[in-house]
Amino acid sequence: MKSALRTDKESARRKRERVLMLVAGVLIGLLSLVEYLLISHAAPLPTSSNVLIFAVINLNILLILVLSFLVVRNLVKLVFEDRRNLLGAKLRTKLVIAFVSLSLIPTLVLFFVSFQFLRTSLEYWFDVKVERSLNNALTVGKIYYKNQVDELKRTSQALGRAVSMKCIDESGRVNRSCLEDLIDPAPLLPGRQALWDMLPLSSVEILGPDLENIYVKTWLPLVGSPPMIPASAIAQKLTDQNYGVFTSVLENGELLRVIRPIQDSKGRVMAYLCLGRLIPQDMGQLLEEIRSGYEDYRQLKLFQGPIKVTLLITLFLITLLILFVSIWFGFRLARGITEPVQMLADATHRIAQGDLDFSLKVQGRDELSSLVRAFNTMTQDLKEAKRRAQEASRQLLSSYAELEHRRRYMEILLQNVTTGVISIDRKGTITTVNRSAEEILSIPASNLIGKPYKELLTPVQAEEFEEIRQELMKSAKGTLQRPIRLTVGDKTLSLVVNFTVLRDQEDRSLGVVVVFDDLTELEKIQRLAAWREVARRIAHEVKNPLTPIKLSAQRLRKKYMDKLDTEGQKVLERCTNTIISQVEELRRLVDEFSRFARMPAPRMVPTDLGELADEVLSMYREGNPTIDFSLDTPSCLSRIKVDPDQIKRVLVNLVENAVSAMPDGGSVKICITADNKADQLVLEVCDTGVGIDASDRSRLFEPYFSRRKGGTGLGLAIVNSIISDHNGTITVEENRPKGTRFIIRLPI
Amino acid sequence: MHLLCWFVQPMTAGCQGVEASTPEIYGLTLASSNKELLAYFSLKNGCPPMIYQVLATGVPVKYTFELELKVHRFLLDKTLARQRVVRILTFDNLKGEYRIGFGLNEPRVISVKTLEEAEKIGFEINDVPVIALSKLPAQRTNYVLRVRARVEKMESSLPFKGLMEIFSSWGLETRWYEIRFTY
Repeated sequence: MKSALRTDKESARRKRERVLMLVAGVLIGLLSLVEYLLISHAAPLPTSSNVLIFAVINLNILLILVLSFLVVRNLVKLVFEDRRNLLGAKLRTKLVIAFVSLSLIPTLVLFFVSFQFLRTSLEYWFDVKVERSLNNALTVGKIYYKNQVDELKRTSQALGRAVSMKCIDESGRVNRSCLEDLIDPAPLLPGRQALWDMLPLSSVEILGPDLENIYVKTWLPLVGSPPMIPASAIAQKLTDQNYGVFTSVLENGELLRVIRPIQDSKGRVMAYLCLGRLIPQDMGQLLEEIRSGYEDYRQLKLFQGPIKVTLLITLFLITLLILFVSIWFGFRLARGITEPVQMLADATHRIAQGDLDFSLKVQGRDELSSLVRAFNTMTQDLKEAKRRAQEASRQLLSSYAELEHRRRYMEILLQNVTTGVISIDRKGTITTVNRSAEEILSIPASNLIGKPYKELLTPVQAEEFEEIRQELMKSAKGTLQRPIRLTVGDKTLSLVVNFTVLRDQEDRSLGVVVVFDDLTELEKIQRLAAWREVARRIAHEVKNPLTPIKLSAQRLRKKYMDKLDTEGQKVLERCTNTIISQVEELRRLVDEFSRFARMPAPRMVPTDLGELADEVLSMYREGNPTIDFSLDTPSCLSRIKVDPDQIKRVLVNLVENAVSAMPDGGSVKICITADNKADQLVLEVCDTGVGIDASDRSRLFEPYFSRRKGGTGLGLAIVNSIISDHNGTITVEENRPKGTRFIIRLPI
Repeated sequence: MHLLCWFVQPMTAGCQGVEASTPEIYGLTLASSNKELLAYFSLKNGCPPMIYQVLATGVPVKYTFELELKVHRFLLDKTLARQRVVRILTFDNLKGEYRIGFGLNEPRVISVKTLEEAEKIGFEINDVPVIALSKLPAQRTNYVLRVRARVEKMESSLPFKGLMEIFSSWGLETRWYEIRFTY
């Protein structure tokens, strides 16, 4: 994330720099124009020689711009970073201030001292004494030179006159032998040597009227012929004055020559005399140095002001350069320290956020680089540790998921088994109650879980449970099975309870798990089956002798009726009738038993239960005027599949019982409703009779249980059997304010 | 040599108010030989005090005379020929004489004792061949010959020569002086 940000910032910064470069380019153009205009107006300088100067000035301006830009940019950046309290900003600020101070103060001091020194030096240069000395030196040179020329002029004048008188005839011809004799006489002639010693000549040239060479004589140190002087130059010189001075630079010195016309007595120019003297090289060099020194001095003096400005600008530029370098170095050094620190801080932040997939760039071999390298190593170690932790976590999660899956499976299994399961920990607190246990005990689990079992049991039950616990502790297998009859509300449950001690791998007791099955219904069914078997046998064993008994009684009456007296006949009649009626009664009883024992399978057809109920009630209305029979059915009651004969029998049985329970009148009501949620049809038969004791209700549907005189105890058993065959249930409860309410639930 | 031209228009416009010591071109004249168009002119006040001071320090001063022959066109004038004449003036402090050179590679040098002589020799420019007559398109009007003079220092022993060019105000350049003619 940071790298991306950094890349974005970098590209933005480069874009800004490109814009800045463009602006700088435009600025350079504008500045060049301004400089040109300024210089052009200040003095009409030739532009061709100023290109280099413009380049230098622009470079300087550019340097100043770059310097200003860098300094301002970095300072602004520094201020902003400082305000934002960025890591490393304060350290960088301190370093930059230190470097700028360390460089600025000595540089400025040096600048002002140098400037002062420069000013003093320039004033010293142009001191009056120096100027006077140079002027004197130049004057000496001038005098020397003038003396040379004057001597040549005088000599040429004398020699010219001599040549004119002795060596040129009337026709203007020059006598060479005369010239030789005059210019180079025999050395033994008296006075000659002294003359040449006084006037050392290097060359003597005689030119004709047309300036052609007639005679040339040279002496050492001049070697060879002297260079030709252009005729035009001679002519130009001689037009203004009667002599001309020419100088020629030779290898061994400077040849100074004076040329003068040789005239006859009439003033005609017969020839030209040119005398030369070689100024030695060492002397010429001295004169040249005097001239050069004087001219340099004059130039310096003339340009004293510009030189000062130039030197000042140079000094200023050097100062700027030093400042630029020092500030730049300060920033760079500060960055070199703070950047790794900031980089480490950013990296630490990233690690704190969990990002370990990066490595810091290491540059150099200093201590900070070692720190960065160590940080990278630490990051890699952390990454490896994180990878291992993630791997372990993944395995742990996988195991947990597996365990959770198993736990849920066990929980589902536990919740869905029909067996009730209750677990009790070693402290006696109930920890688990499954759904079947809730249903069997008719207690919500929330009322049991977390509570000590002793609080939930009656004292008698607690005592029994304690005995069981004692036995359980003594049991080698740690398990114990007990049949228990338990009264829950108005129901008495028949349970088979298994107590098992939970033990861990180290055989320590973790508590007890109580597993119990509700055998109440099973017992009922078993009892019903047993009773049916009994009824079948009774019917089979009792029914057979009834016919012979009845026939025998009828035969006795028929055979002995006529043979007995009236009293006897009455007795016989009464006895046989009793036998016959009892036999009939027995037959009826046996038939009932037989019917109970051989209950046919229901034939299910769609039936309107309201109609059926109304039919049954109609049967009883006329015979029981003191009883109010009523039917309550919904208008849209749909037909359901039942055996109409058996259900009618159920209704007859229940209404018969109700009528029997109300000898003094009352009301019998049949209500039929649909329980759509449970997909059941609910049929209720209510009466306002004497009611049934709560203790009898659990046994009410058992065969041969009856509180009514003359009752066989099979009616409600048959009703229960029919409803069970229809996969329904029948319950009995108290009808408020009095009477009994039978509730039949049949699946729709 | 006979005079060909003929409408010499003195171009003094824009010169009013020019100080007497300011260098200026005067006597700009055109003539023709058998083959070439020749120009004649002189430089007046070519050595004002400022230049004289420089000259006195021994620095050679170069006088460059630029000539341009143009023909007038609607948008942009066409330059038919360019010429350049150079004179180099030097003062020898030791010998107290002025030397006039006639070009950078020209050995011809004239030495004179006074500045007036030097100015006379150096600043009177004669017989400058501008263009061959055969190259002048006939029956064209509005030819313009313009001349200007530039004065600059040739060499110096001073340090910081480049910056001195900027901060030493002794160079000079005249404006263009023009002469219009038809041919």
